[in-house]
Amino acid sequence: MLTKIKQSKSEKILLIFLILLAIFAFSSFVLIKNKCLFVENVKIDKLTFENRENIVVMNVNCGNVIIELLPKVSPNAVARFKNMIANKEYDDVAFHRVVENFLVQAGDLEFGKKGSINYTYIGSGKSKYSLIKPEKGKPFDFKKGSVGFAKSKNGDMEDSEFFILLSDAPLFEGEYTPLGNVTHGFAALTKIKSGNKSEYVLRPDFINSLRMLPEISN
Amino acid sequence: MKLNILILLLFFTIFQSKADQIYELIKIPNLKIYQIDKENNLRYLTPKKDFVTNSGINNVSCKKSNNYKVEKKYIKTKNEFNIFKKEFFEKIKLKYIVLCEELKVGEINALGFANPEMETILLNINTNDDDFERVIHHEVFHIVENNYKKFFPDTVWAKFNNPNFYYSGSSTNPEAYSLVKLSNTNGFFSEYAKYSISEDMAETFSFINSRKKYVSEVINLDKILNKKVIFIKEGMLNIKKSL
Repeated sequence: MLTKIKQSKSEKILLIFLILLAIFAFSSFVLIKNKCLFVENVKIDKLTFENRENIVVMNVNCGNVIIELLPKVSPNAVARFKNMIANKEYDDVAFHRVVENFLVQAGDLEFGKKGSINYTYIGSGKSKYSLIKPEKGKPFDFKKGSVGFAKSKNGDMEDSEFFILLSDAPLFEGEYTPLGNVTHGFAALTKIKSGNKSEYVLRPDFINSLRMLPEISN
Repeated sequence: MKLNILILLLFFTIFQSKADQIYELIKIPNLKIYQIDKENNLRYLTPKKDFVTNSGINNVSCKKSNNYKVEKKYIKTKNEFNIFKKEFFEKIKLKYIVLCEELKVGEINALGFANPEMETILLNINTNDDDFERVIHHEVFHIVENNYKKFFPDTVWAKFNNPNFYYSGSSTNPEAYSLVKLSNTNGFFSEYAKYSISEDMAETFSFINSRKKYVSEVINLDKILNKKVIFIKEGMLNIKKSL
């Protein structure tokens, strides 16, 4: 005859411990590793835009980031940026410089491309385009989500590198050329991989694609 | 255990926080915005905590000060800078003023320090009011000189001095760095002016802007100083013309 054996107290504790261990293992390997888990992906088709010709869609690991360009503030810089986007120059380019809670920077077309990344020189590369003069004269409030052209290494000129602010930077007014503002998908930017000790990132995240909105819609 | 704590402390000391807009612009850590003067576009900064940074060949260090001291010197500084126009600062490329205590440049106590490359002047707010006023103008000239050296050629300046005079260069005697006006000028406004051509010009500029009455009197008695004052004024006029 079978008799029901009641669990001892220590067996109950062991069972609870094993359950907790399983939960911990699951979180470590699935939930925590997936840094994009709580980032809502921006669905472009559900958004409406007034100036579609100035809307940029940047696809990164955690989804889409929507940027509205400001040609009235920086006409030459925005034209240059649009031209490089049209030529798909920024696809597979690294976020080589990430200052946690402050900014992410990408756009080194020479040393920052996926597959041919050069850690020695990254951040000092040139594009095939000529340098352009900054447009810093007009008032612009550099705040969280603002996008600007970074200065080139050889002086007060600009090339292809750009940054996106993760926090307000009022002192940047008059120092950098504004390109635009992030309107949607800011959370995806905060998940971009940063370096541990250095601002320059080893095995960085990449821009998957950077497109003008009309190009995607067509 | 103690060793572990020490290693941890050392770790945090070595890796100072640099992730902010000010470090991005002028490469000085641990600063915060004190005031932004919209009239002349100067940005006044103070340390959140003590800092050490590298500027060219020198290590520059400075300490955090209390709000009362900063406010007092900020008002003084603002008044002195307000004699210049916004366009002047834009032209000479001066944007950032750091107000801090116990400024040291290459381990030597300093009253001020100009870093033209970063468009920055650091001012030691422990300086007495009289000297402080002079230091402001002195450092402004170093910024001016860096951007408009063509208007202030050393070769012309050197000829103003007596033929047997040589600038002292670095000295271990603290008196050599004195800003006190000389009773017997003999071509120099202060002892520090005898240090180098650049410091001599900066001292002359400083006296012109902060001791106008004294300068107008002394140039009648000292022919060398008269030539130096005219030279600096002409140089500044050339800059203004190019504004």
